[in-house]
Amino acid sequence: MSRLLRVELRRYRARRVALWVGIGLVGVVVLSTVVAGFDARPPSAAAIRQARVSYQQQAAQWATDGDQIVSDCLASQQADPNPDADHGCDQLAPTLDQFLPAVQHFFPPADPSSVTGASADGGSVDPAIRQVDTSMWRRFGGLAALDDLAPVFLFAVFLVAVSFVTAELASGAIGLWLTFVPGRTRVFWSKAGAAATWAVPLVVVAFALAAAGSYAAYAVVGTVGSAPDGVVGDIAAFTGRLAVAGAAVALAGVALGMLLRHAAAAIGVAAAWLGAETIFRWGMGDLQRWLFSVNLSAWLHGGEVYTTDRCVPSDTGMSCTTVEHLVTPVQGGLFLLGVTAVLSLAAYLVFRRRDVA
Amino acid sequence: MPLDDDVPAIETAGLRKVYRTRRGRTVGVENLDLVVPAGGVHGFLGPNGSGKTTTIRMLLGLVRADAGTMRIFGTPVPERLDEVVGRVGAIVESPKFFPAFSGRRNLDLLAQAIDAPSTRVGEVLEHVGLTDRARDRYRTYSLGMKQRLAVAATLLKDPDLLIFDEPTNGLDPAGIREIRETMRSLADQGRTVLVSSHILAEVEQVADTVSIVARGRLLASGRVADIVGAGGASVRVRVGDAEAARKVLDAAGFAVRADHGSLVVDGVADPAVVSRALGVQGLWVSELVQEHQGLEQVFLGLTEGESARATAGAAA
Repeated sequence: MSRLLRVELRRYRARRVALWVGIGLVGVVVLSTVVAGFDARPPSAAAIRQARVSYQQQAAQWATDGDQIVSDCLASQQADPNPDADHGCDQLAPTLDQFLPAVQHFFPPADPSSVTGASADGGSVDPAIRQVDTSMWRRFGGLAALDDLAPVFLFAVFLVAVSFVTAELASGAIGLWLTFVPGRTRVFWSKAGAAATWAVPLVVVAFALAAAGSYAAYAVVGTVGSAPDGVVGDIAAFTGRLAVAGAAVALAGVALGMLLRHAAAAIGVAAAWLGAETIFRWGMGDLQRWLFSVNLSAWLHGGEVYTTDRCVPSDTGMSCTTVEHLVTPVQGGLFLLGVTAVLSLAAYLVFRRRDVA
Repeated sequence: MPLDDDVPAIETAGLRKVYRTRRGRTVGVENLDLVVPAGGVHGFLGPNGSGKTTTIRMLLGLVRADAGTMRIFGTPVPERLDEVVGRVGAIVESPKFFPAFSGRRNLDLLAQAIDAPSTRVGEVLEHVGLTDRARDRYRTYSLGMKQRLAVAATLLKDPDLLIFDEPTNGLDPAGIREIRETMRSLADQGRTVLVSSHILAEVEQVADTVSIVARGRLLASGRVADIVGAGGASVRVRVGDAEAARKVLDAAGFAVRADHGSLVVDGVADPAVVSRALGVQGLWVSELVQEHQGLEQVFLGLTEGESARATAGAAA
């Protein structure tokens, strides 16, 4: 097995697709660094001047209409059937901070008020959900923006893994290969192992380069900011989870490629699945807990929060409140493991029995 | 490993393969009992779609048999194919390598898979005359070069049994001759070569033994000379008075037929008996030629007969 794995690793490395995908990832890293360079720049004096002008105009308007707006807000709050409802009527007055362009740093600010998630005000009653909502990856900053690259890296790994097996099936080279190594169990798992093994350095190096590029972009303009406690551990943990996800996605790619035999079919099925999840997610209620994208995010980010609407009849019809639910990283990891295991096992059994042309 | 002449290189019994297609079931191989003796070149003949490639694929574990048993050098396959695959080199239909890799890289990967020494790749490339183009991408190779690379791949293992499935398809005459010489030379080294083909002249020149299949069934098998001999010899006779000669030969019990102004006497081992029978009656032979049936006639006779039986069976 180890000899076959070594041979497959060599073949993987020698493949042109792997080279082109590697070049593509370098391009993505360069692009993300350029974008980080734009984000890192502090606001210009002209932008600050314009913000002050806008604030003064809004404050003047508030002086005229503010009392009425607050009064309307309080009336709406009193009419709300939920006795605990808080419509934020005491926070309606404009402040200068709201108008000044935000200064973005590489490291996220320690202040949870800068959180971008659904519970940005930290208002969730569930401490586990609050922890996820206020995690480093939910805040403004160059580092948090890097997690948007994770799906790109994982897609790249998937692409190479799919083509790794479909190229062999399409060219018929698998037939020649099996005349040298007829044991299909060894052949299948060596291919899967090679794809998973290569995925780890691919995503880790790509993420490390992107992080380094982003850091450098912020450092050049002096907006790195101060590193919060435990940030290195958070980054290492994210990178580790990304590496595991990369290996899982590569295994899934090999399995889909083996099952469907054509790269376009395998990529199309995966894209259609994820597209359907995105389109139909909001109508799925509690089934969101079992979506691939939700569980992948839970695994990568140390948890994921999804929301459902809970509606009850009221005097005015139906009254709905939004309820937050937590998907833990443990569930996310087990889900990924389960999907990978089921796909791999199915592909292995099919490959064992399939006639090779 | 030394060859044991008593153990056939290949032996199948009751082999059967049915393909399920959208149109229903198609029998690829039906109750095939094939024996390929160890050593020499064995021609595996049959028209297109007769089950040759399917049989080879089953032997190599690429296709699952629905029934029957197979042995290679006495080892049951595919159950214990792992044990014997190192002694088998095979090209199934057209060569299939990774198009974007060079010939050498393709062979390197195969050599590493079987733990062959890296020097072996250079040797086999040299053997087939591909050293100069070894670093070029496989997709740039001509058909002949692809075929030679495939031969090189089979030699990586230094096999006792080589299986060539339609090895000369698409090759020019020089390429065909080259492959034929390669097969003969491999057999002369004591290896067994199984060559499947529908080009009979090619096989007749090189094969020691043959098996003829049609519609998945074995029609004949044995030494080439025996199979051709079983078809019998004929004597073509030209006589001044053909009508009188025919009556004489008929009366003497020969099977005679007229053919383009000549008489053809079938089933005659010795032409002298025809000459003597006519001479006794004062009919002198102006031309007498002994004609042997070629493999092609035997093959066509067998396969057309099988086809007619199948058609009649279907009609019934």
